[in-house]
Amino acid sequence: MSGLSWEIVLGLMGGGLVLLMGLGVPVAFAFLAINLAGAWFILGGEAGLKLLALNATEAVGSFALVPIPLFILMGELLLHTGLATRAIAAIEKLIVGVPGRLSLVAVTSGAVFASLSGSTIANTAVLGRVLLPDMLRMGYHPVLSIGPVLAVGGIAMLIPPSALAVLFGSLAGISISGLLMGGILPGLMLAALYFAFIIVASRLRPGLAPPDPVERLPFRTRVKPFLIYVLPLMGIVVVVVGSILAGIATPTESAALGSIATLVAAAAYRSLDWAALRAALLGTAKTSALILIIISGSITFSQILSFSGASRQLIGIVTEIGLEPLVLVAAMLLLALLLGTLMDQVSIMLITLPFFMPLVNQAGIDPIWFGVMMLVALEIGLITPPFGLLLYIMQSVAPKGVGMRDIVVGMAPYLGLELVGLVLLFAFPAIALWLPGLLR
Amino acid sequence: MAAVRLLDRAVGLLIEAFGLLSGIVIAFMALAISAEVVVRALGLPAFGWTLEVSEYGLLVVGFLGAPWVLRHSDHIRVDVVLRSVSPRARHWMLLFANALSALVCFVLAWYAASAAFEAFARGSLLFKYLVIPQWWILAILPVGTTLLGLEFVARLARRLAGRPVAQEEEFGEAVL
Amino acid sequence: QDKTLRVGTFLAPQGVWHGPLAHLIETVNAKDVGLTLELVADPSSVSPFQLGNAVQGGVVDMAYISGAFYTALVPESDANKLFNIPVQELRENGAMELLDEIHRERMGAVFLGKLGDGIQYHLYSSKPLESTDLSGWNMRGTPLYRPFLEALGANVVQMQGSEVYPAMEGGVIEGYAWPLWGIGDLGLLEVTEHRVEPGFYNAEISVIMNENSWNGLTPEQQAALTEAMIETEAWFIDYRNEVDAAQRALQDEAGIEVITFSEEENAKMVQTADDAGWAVVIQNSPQYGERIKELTYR
Ligand code: NA
Ligand code: NA
Repeated sequence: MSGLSWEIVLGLMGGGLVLLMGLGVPVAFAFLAINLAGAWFILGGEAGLKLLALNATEAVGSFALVPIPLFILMGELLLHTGLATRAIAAIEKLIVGVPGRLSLVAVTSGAVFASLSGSTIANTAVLGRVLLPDMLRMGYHPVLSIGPVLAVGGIAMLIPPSALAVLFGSLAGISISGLLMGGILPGLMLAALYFAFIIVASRLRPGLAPPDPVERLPFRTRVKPFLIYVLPLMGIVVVVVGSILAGIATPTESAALGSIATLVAAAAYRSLDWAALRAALLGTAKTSALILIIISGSITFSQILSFSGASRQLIGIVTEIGLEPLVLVAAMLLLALLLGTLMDQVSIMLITLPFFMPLVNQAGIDPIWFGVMMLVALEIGLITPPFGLLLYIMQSVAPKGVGMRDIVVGMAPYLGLELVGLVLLFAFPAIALWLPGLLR
Repeated sequence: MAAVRLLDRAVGLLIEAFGLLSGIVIAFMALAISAEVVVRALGLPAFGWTLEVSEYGLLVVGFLGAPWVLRHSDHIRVDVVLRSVSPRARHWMLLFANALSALVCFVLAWYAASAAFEAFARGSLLFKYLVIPQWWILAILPVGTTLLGLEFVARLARRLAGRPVAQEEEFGEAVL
Repeated sequence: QDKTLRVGTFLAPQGVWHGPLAHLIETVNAKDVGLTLELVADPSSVSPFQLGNAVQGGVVDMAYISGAFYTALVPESDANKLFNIPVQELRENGAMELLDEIHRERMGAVFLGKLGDGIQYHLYSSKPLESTDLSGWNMRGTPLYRPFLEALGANVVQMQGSEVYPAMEGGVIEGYAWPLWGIGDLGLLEVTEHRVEPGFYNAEISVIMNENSWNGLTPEQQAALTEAMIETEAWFIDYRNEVDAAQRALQDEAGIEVITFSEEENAKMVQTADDAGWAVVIQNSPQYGERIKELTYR
């Protein structure tokens, strides 16, 4: 136990984790296996294992995590009641007569849903299902069809509500409301970058997005569905944000109000039935259970690491090297991007944050700025092969005949745009910090 | 053999019930927390118990919902290596993964159960708004991990019998 | 023989709250009895709510912990905040022996001593209090002072610590209770307008030790440890006065106004707090509650 030097503890625990995950042990159970060994050798025998059980229970039963299921519920309700599908159809009517029309529809819808749902998967799935078949039938190139859907789907984790941001804030011990506010402008900035890229690309290369023969309806007819099916949904955003600002609810409570507001919206559109409600609740339970059990594994992992002294020592060393804070931030983001090619978002947070956050605090780096950049880096990981969650989601919802090759080709320019966005955030921290600053 | 099948069915029913319970718990959390906001806005006394009941609810969703998720889909795994090896190697890797997962679940279940039992024997109470026996809360983890362990054993058995669970042959199970 | 004891703290190991533990560790380590205290656990490794269990199981040998965090093991530890007899006197009148006995019985731990005498809790608010009647007020509460806030007529709202700031700012709550120390660390200076004087209760911190680890020490080491504890308890008085003054100055500087009432009403408020607190202690421990009150409270 204490006979082991910290380097060995660190190597065994970190290496063991990577090894088990590589062998195909599910993430939660890879953590658990390492934690059991760590509890035995580092915390000390059976007492250590019992303490591990207590710690795992406390890690999950934490009020800070309550918004996670509630934010996911919002997205699942939109998906299963069909509200999302109708909103897309309405936005589609609104945007006409421009090259790359459907791509712009995808980006706009994606940004709207990002503010209504905390789930990148639900967003990508719904956009892919509804828009892709038309796009591909009309001969859109992957760069203007698959790409925008993939890219904008990921924005859901930046623009609140965001289950991932809540998780990040609670694992990193930084202000959750600050992080949520901090993600808004960067999310919109990315959407604007995609928008600009689509306009430029479809002007320069008209072949990428053939013009569609949409019949020219009068403006009033086009705007009516938007007013009916999209605008009222913004009432949900008003409920979530407004209830906090008006002093009616705490941030956690606003998540509950948001899910009830979504329910009310579905009922108002007469889209709510038992089947949809049941599907939404079970879908939420599934995703939440997955996240929560991984959280219990990872939090206890970093507790054991901290107990062993390895975290402290590592920080001591990095502090001694005396990296410039900005170099340090860049190095951490690069590491997150690299891990993002191989691992899922939650696991990356869990593995890196126990090391990153003490370094960030030590170096006096603004944790919200760092948190928002990490969220963007994690978002990039959603679309980088070989392991990119949204790539797989896309594959499962795309029409037959769409291969991984098309998906990767379509994604490539947006990967570049997201990296540009990350660099902009790095150069201009105000993009992330301005809104949270207003809140303070 | 019939006994084993009966056990499998009983466990299956329990797991399904917990899946349903997880969904109900989420609905209850949304309703109770919202109701508390309304009650407060009307100037009526706060419930007081929403915070801790929500915490306990997360335990139900996390630990009792997990076996249900495992039964119906899969847990997230990093499948870079799994994808690139031969089917035979993949078979052995998944055998190992299931066996190890089952083992660690049972080990944790044992120690979590003994922590719960000690709290029971000591008569420990949780003094929050609601005063409840601590073992009620500590018992959730061992029940969940036992069911997870049984589910991994079932997967192991099916793989050994040559009919592996379909989800294990697919990749890219998604999270957020 | 040389012995190292693993110590855990329920708070981040820096800042004003850590001072007393740092002093205790220094004092013990300076004594030439082959005994070293090493801080191995803090909230990043063992949650405050599990630190009592860590002592019980021997994962750490010693803990610096507030009684509120291990009531599941020792329900009587909830009473520590209510003591108003200085710890030096508690060592004379048999109270320490009683606490030690209870800790040994309930969790197999030795009660070494108590720090934090006189760090009081205060009511803080965003709007001026006219009286101690809090009817119609939404106050953030934890189990620690919920019975007291309810006795004042407040509507007690539960939320996690990180939500107090937005809740104060938006107006979900009009006030909260917190020790005099640490409002600044929580970032609450800017959303807080008033502090009620006098304070109530003690933000006490106990030092407890696993019984087996204690028994494994030589009599000389045990004596040195007790001696260091007593020295730290004595040292603490000046330390507290210094930090109290600094924290008051910090709050003054942030424009937090002091609210106080008539002598009579102040006394009534403190009495209400104490009565509410003791009622809970005695209800939760019919066995020892009354006896603890007799020895520690006047
Ligand atoms: Na979102
Ligand atoms: Na990736």
